[in-house]
Amino acid sequence: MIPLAYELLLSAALFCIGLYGVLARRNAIIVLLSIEIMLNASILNFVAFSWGSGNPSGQVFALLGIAVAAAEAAVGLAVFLSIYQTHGSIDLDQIRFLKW
Amino acid sequence: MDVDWEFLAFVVLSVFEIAGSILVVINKRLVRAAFWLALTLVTIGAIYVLFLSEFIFIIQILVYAGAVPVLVVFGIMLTRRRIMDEPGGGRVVMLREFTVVLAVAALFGMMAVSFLGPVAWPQSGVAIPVYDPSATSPRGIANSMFDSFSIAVILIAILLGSGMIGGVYLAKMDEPGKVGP
Amino acid sequence: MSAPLVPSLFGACKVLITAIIGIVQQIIYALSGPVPPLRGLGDWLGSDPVLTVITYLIVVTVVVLWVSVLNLFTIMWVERKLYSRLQDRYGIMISIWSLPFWPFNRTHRPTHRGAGYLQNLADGVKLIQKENITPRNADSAMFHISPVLIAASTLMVFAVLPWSSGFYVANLDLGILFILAAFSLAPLGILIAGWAANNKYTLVGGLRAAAMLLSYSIPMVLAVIALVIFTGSLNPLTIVQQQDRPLMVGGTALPIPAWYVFGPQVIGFVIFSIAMIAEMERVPFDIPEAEAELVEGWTTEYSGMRFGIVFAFKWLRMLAACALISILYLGGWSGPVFVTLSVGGIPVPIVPEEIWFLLRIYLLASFFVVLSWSIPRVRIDQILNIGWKRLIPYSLLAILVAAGFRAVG
Repeated sequence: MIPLAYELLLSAALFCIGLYGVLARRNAIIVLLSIEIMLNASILNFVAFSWGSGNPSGQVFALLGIAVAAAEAAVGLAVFLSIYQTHGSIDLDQIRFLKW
Repeated sequence: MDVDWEFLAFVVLSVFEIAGSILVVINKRLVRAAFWLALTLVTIGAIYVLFLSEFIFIIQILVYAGAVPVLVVFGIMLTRRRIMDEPGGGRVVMLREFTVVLAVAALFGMMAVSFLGPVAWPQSGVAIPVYDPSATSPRGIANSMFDSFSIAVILIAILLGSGMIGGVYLAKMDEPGKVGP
Repeated sequence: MSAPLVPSLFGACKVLITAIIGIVQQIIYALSGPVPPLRGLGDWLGSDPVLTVITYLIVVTVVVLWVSVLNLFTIMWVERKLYSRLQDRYGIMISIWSLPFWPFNRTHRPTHRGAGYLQNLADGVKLIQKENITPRNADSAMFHISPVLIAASTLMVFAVLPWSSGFYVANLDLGILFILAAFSLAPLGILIAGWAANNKYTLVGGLRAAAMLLSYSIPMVLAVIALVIFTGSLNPLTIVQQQDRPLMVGGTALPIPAWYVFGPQVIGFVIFSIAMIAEMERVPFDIPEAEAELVEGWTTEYSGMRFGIVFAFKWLRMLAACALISILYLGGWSGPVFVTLSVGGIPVPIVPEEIWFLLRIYLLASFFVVLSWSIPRVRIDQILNIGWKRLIPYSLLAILVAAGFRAVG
């Protein structure tokens, strides 16, 4: 039996570490990996509360969340590939197209 | 010794996870970051086993240790000029990292205070079967998914299909420098 | 109808360990006369949790030794001897008569004309005593860790795979799904191995291997889905138990057993076998390790025992793949028990379930070996063509056919 509060702390820590990766890194691939970590932190919460309350909807949403995260990783990588092809680098500090 | 082995396993796995995720976000070499991501996600799967959800654990291994890191490593290789080329550029001023660490620590502090406060979290849990042939509660995952959430399953199928087609279209390069075929 | 030789591996090991710990306990109690604190140690050793933990360790060791020593040597010997005989040559011949000590060093008998069973042991010893070279600009952490990844993902399969209805380490309700997930862990190890060696050939081999393994995981899982519509369970023991009956066609019982290959699942059987040949990286899907084109593929830079590990685990994956095919489609370990002897009160079935299982595995392995050494290698774009454009529609057809049969009755 794991006290649910500790698991929530773990998931909050993972979310914050992923958030650091998204905000502070320049390389687009590391940003993608950090988004995956954030999504997994929230899916961990779904599974833990599904265990705690006996409701299977949590695990259903975990499955759907895993599917969405994988699809988003694939499409994100395709976008980065096409950005690399047209601009030669995936450094997010240099990809600032929406200028006035 | 009356050691709570499950809690000990949970503590060990959380240490691995936090260490792995920190190593992902501060790593300069991309393939190592992908490897640490695979390790972090597999330990999250092991925590799912501690929460008696083996089905989600196996799906996590299938997707997140077998498919997504391979995808990421393919993406790494297709976005660089030579094999061991690393994205360089070290800046001496670390102002951005420092501010982000402060902001993230503040956010974590707020969440921790609210989680450890006087909230009555559920204390014990039940194992949910994958499929429950009887119609009474507790219902299984498959019952709930295809009875109540069938529209969500169909939408996820459409999302995955369109994601695959869109990804292939975006990454297809018939002429260098032009997006799409 | 079929009986196992070891009705419960955990029970047998527990009896053995209890006996051994009992002897050790007597020794400790005898020693605790002059040294009183040893009595507590004796009590602790004989307590139930300690016995259970030691039994589990011994069970895991037995299964790992059974798989990786006995079955690995036998399947490597079967392959190397069979393809040599197909090529009209003698093949491997170092056997027990090549050992340099008495009673095996007969001077009148040639040392290198034996059956060849110990040649693989000799090759292993040769690989151990070679130098482990790491390329200079290679990413050495990733280079060293990828054989470990490949080995770990393959051994995970053998933790769940049962060898008869009693010879297993763990009996998971989701066993088949766990085995498929462990098979899908390998592309990451191979890709990182190919990249980390800082070598054009390994990189190309690793990329091709990852693309091929990932794209053939999909029809593999879809074929298993088509099967699960029939069985209703992912437990390998249940699946084999359901195939242990005579085949019923329209109410009459035929004298052949109800294996899933004798039904509408034959499409699934063909698709699963082809996907497994690709997962095992055998010819015709040999392009990641194409010896004439890519030196040695993604394993080029590995030398010494690291190469031995990678090489041996390729054969262990072949063993796991043949075992999985025979559990799912060919009836697993079910087979008639002809005679049951009684040795000292313990019933010993002649032709127990383990022998039937090993027979099926080695027949399948021989078929795959003959197939590999008869047909040419397929090009990588043709491989991906077959995987995506032919196998996936046929596996969806297999799911439709299975669902249709199940709906009709």
